[in-house]
Amino acid sequence: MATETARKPYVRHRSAMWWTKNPRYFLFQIRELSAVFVALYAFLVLYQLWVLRQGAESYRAFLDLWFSGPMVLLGLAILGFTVLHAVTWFLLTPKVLAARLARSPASSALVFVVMLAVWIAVSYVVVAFLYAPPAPVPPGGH
Amino acid sequence: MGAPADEVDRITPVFWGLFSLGGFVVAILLPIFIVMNSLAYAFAFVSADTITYRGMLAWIASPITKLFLVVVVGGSLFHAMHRIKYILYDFGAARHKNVIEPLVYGIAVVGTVAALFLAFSFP
Repeated sequence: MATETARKPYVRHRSAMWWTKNPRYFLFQIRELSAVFVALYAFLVLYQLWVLRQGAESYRAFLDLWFSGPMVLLGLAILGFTVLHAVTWFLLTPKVLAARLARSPASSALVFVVMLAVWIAVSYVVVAFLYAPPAPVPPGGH
Repeated sequence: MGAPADEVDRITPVFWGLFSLGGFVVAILLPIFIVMNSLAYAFAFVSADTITYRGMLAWIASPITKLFLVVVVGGSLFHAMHRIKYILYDFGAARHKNVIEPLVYGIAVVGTVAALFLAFSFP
């Protein structure tokens, strides 16, 4: 009990490309990679708000960029990553619940379906409340 | 002699909590926001009025929109930066934990504060 030994932890060697060797690891890493696109989109929105503050002229120029082909393609790619993230997140929700509440695995499918329903319902609410068609712009405006 | 037994790591659970909360924001709110903000006009689902300068100012005038933007941007950043931290670790950067941790969470905090200021700067 008296002797203290210097700690020399074992560090397992792992190649930086370990995740290409197995499809499961590949899906895992693609899902992790979605984080880069999510962060990118957050910064694009900050930039959008910044330009919106600059006034009408700046925002008009920004719109040409925002709805250009490459930006729309990027938007589609980011949407794809977020949908992959959403579905895998909802698939693991029942596992977290099971760990916390000791639910039976049989209810996993139900939790997943409920999460999908919540997702669709919230999306509908967002469109209905935040993106309701604006009141007609009075003539002479713009 | 190790660390005293009552020395509990209180910081890590906070960031895991924000990661988890952000995960739900990214899963439930971000896809529809991307559709409405980046794609709906491009695919002619909404009229041009919604994306003009005036349309955007009318949209952002609502306090709910401002709050929505802060939640989406902040939640996305806390979730994404946490994951990016572990991506960097997975690629063998765990040695530089002392640099990476303040950097990733610093970016998330600054981005969230920026979203708060930008969103609420509009009338």
